[in-house]
Amino acid sequence: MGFLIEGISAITWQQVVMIIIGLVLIVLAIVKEMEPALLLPMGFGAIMVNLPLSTLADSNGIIGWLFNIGIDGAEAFPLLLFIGIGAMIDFGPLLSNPKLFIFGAGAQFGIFATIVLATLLGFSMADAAAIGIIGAADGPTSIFVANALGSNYLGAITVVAYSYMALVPIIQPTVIKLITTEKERKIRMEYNPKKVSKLTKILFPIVVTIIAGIIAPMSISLVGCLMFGNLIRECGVLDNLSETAQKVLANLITLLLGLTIASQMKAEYFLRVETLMIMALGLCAFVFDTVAGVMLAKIMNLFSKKKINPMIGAAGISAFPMSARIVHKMGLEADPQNHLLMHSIGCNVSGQIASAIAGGVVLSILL
Amino acid sequence: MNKETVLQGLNVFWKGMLAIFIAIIIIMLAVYLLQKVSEATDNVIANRAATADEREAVKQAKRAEKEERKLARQAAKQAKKLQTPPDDTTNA
Repeated sequence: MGFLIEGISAITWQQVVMIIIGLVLIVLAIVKEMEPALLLPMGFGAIMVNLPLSTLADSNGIIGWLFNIGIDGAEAFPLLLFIGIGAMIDFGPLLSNPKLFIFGAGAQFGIFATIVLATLLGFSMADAAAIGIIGAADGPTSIFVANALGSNYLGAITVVAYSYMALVPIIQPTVIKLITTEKERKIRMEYNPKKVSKLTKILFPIVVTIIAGIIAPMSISLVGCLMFGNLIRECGVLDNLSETAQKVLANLITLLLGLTIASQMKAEYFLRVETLMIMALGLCAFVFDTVAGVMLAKIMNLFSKKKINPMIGAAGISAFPMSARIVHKMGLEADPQNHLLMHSIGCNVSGQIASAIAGGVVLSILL
Repeated sequence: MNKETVLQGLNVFWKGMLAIFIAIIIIMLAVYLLQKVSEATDNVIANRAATADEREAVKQAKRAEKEERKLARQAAKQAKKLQTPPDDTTNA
């Protein structure tokens, strides 16, 4: 009867902690509805791989196998997820006001500032870059870059990236209020959308892929998949494929991605002091992104006749559409007639493109 | 803290920010260009459509004119016929 106590006698305190973390993730997903599509599979996966004598995360276990095929091999899962995301995004508000592109670039500041901060804390260059990418506020990009750089902290980076994405409604309003005045938050912006032709909407994903591919060749897979998804949406002849990419493909990959990432949440990889440092750096990345976006808008206001509400700069991060909604809500709080939704959506989708390019840029510089 | 790694990090910082701004500005310019091209294409198509409409209108006007002339001729013929008395009836 010794086999009955084999499991319980092999359990370590680290595994117990990881099982508790798994339970916390499940509670956050169900009770707080924080990124439930990802945190729930991750939480359950974390419990499964940390049970004593579990072989699920080994190369011949299902989670280990999924990791080898879906992430380690050709980073298929994050890239396939990008096709779904591309199919979900309407770039119309951005195309009707291309000036908003600049905020997507500005809000990537957090990535690069956090890279420097991580090197100051003693992380290696590859790990620092992988941690910095949390500032992309984009789960698939974080997974893609961290894995491509061979970071030892893939599990922690993914958990932190998705957790802070879920915490954007808490982080961003606090930071925005600290760095803007009531008067600035009240600035109204006219919305006069130009008509965007179908030709522009079809050519846009093709042109972006070519430009991003030439400037940062490592970004082709990220930007290409995102834009391919968008082309399916906009071409008008593949409605069934577009719908499948938006719903079935995105849901299926999210489900598998959550479980797969759990393979990196084994106690020996996760329970380290560095995980706490990554959590702190991830928060810094989101704060830097927000501050840089707002400051860029303030600088632009110094030179332009038509004033820009600085808050829309904060929507330049990739957390779509949460960030745009927060800015819109804050605009309405400052002035009930101040509707910023379309402007902030434009910045937000620009952030989606910019974060994918930023991921590719980091890889192009380091690999 | 490794001084060399920090310097490398700073190197990634400025190169990365520069690259991202260059990429985004080029994309922004490309979008402006795309909009101009599609506007121009729309105008050409609209002009063509307008000229085609005009041509059709002229054709229709000509056709209507012809029709009118034809009808006038027929009416004149009929009026002539009615004015001239038939020869056979007098003889009989």
